[in-house]
Amino acid sequence: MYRLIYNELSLIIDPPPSELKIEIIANVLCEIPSENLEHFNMTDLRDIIQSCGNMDIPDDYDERVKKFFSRECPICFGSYTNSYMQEMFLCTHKCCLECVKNHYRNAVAEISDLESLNKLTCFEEAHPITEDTKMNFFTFLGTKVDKYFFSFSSNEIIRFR
Amino acid sequence: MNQWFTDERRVLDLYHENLYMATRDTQDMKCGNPRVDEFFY
Repeated sequence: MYRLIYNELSLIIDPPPSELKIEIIANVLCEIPSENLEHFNMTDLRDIIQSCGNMDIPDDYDERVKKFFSRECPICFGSYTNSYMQEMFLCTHKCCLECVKNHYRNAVAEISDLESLNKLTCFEEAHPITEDTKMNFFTFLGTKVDKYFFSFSSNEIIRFR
Repeated sequence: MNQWFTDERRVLDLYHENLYMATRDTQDMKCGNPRVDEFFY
């Protein structure tokens, strides 16, 4: 398995990173449970490769790679790759994509007044939306909600035919 | 294909609707004309 992953990584990454980096990443990918890699994508690979130069690989790079591919969601306690974890806009709290979607589903249904909008800021604690932050926050939130919940309904599919 | 046939779109619609209802009072702008009664904005 290690040789297979090593060869694949050598072929798909352009420009190819140092052999040591590929060795470490391939090694970690073999070690961590496959459930953690369910949502693994190329962004994860790119980000961990670009996190340091080819010539200055830190001593704890394997630990970093391991952590990068095994972030724990504080809500469901599942382990996921870095790109699957979603960061809140007004704080640094992160949870997995499925949990953040659930949070937005519930928070959106509970919107009734200006105060209730604060629940949309974070799953952990509701931050006040100030005049300074509201513009950027709602731009961010609008993009996220569009991305998470936009889908063609079956009626629209039929209309396109 | 799965995502095309979910009804998640209603969450998005609900978001826009509830957001509008929650913030509509703050979005009204006075026209500024002194001849317009303030009551009517």
